[in-house]
Amino acid sequence: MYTVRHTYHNIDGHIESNVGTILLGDSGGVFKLMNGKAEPIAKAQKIKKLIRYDETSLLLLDSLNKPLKLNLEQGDVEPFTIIDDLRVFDVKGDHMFFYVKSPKRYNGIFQISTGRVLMESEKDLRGVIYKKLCFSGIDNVLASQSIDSGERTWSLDVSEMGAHEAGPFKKRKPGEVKKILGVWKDNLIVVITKGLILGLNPKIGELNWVIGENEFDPFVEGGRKIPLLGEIENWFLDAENGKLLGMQGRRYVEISLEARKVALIKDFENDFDQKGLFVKNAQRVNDRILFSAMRHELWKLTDTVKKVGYTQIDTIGIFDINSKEVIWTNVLEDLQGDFIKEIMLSGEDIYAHTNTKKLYHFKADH
Amino acid sequence: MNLKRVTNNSLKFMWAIVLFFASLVFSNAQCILDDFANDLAGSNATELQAFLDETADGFSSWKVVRNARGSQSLFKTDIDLLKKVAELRNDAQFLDRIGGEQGLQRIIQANVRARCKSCGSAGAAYLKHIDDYLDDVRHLVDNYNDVDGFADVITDLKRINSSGSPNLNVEGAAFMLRIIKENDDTFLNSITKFEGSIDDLTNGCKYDLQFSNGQTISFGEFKSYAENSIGNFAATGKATYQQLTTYLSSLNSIDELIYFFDAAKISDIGIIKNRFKTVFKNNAEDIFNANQDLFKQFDRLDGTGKIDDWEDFLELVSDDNFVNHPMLDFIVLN
Repeated sequence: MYTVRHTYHNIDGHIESNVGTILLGDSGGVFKLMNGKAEPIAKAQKIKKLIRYDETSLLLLDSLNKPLKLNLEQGDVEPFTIIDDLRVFDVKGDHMFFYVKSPKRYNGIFQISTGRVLMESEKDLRGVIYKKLCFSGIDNVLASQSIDSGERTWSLDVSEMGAHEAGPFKKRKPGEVKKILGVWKDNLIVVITKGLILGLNPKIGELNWVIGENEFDPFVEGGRKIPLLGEIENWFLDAENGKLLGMQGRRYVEISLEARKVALIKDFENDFDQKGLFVKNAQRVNDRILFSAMRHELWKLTDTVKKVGYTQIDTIGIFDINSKEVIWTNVLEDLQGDFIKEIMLSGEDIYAHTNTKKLYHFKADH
Repeated sequence: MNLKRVTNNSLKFMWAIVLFFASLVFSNAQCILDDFANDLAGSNATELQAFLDETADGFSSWKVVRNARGSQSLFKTDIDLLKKVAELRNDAQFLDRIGGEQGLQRIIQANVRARCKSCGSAGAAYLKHIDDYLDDVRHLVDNYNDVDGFADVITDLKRINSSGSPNLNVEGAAFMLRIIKENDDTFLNSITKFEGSIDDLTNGCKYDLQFSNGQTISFGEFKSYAENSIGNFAATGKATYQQLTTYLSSLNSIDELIYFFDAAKISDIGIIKNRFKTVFKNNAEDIFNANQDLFKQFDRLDGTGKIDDWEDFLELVSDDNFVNHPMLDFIVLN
């Protein structure tokens, strides 16, 4: 379905843009991929990360998140100085989340289309914006702040609800907000530690429901119980269909938000056709999930099951949300101890970036 | 004619060889019997005789120990060890999995610095007594024989340096065996791989393991450093530093990693955490960039939010109280 077309070396980052795939070389060169060749378009020193800014430009961040702005059409690189000592945390849609360290640290949200700062705060602003409210997870608290006034409108302390109990080699840890997924039918959907999913009234912060409590697998290897959901890092909100889609470890999970319960669990490890996959990272693109995975092969012998340990993260694959099947996998055989750190699905291209700055570029077969 | 003479000479030569080896065998057998007789007349004679009276084929157990540790070794009159060897010799499945009686002999031989309970204080105090060590070996063999890398662990438990010097890889593996046996709650049915990693000849840290609860895969790394050598750990550019940054770069959460340090070699976890603090501080930018997503999960020192960049990370790891920070909870002294 996809085959490796090119492998690039010494790559620090990559991103999709309106003019195609942009690569960041580890010596500061910025390249545009053209017919399998990396054409230089700009140069800037000590750049560590690329972020999409708007239709025609990218932000180039150094290791302290200080930005330069790259005009993709002209190839010009210029300082991005809308605020002194600006550092950029992220850009989501029309909003740039930033922070400033001197003379005193503060955080802010900058609206790109209007060119104005919407709000500033001493506390982190990191999450989701919805109807002039900004939701963030700070320390052990989920908080809502008004974009107009900057005031905190409500907060929910999750330190007890999401607390990890002490276990072998682990101390008790207070709960934390893991991810704010978005809003579905007037429910702010938030993932916290211990694998709990909360639905809250976004206006007043009232807790409507919790999924994940007291849901355990009845039968687990070794007689131990583990949470049904566990701590899934890769959750996706499918607001259109009222579902949460989760993919991590050996499982793909669907939660029905209407019924507020697990609707489907697919276990890859016990499915030999699925090659004993153990998913590490995933991203959703339309009705597909691109993932990177380790593999755990089980060899069934006559009277015993031969266990083979997990490989490094050496596999990428595509899971089809409609058929609930892994429809394509590829094992990068030549990693030699390296592993896949980042993945990206873009149109007909897939990228797999290793910890040793190698970028594999896959293209769809026709 | 010539052919006949050649044949006669060959036969004479072969007989000479057979007689030579037979004399060696008989003289070796005589040596063993002499050693046995000496032990039966020695300071531990009563206990040894009682062991032989109680144990079917107790002589063979004595012989395994004698062949493993030599004719002068006090191990062969240590009753706890002899009983353990007799017990293991009776377990056909165990013997089969470690390479038979000879495998058992080599395992006893290879742990050069282990002590026996009646042998005095010579040897390494941080190692278990040899009979207790064999218990750990049995626990591994009984419970993890189908795990990837098991055969490599057994091979290493039998590895003997040609010079006769102590084999530090055996000691590193012995530390891992102890931890596994003491922590069934964590490891039983969960270990998916044993993996020889950095072959650190100075500190004997060889093994690591991979274990899973079905949701996450975690890594256990075993380090046996003493207080006077902890300063060597993860020195910039060295293999243990590369290993640490590689581990850190592959994690989604710091909970997926445990560095076990041997409590029998170093008693104060503060010393170890201080070493990590120094390593993190001296290499803040490099370590932070190894996995920004991992370190951005932690709060900044000022309490107003999460770490954003390596300056925030440096500020945190430079703090006097950093040794008590949850980021270092992956370090376990056991």
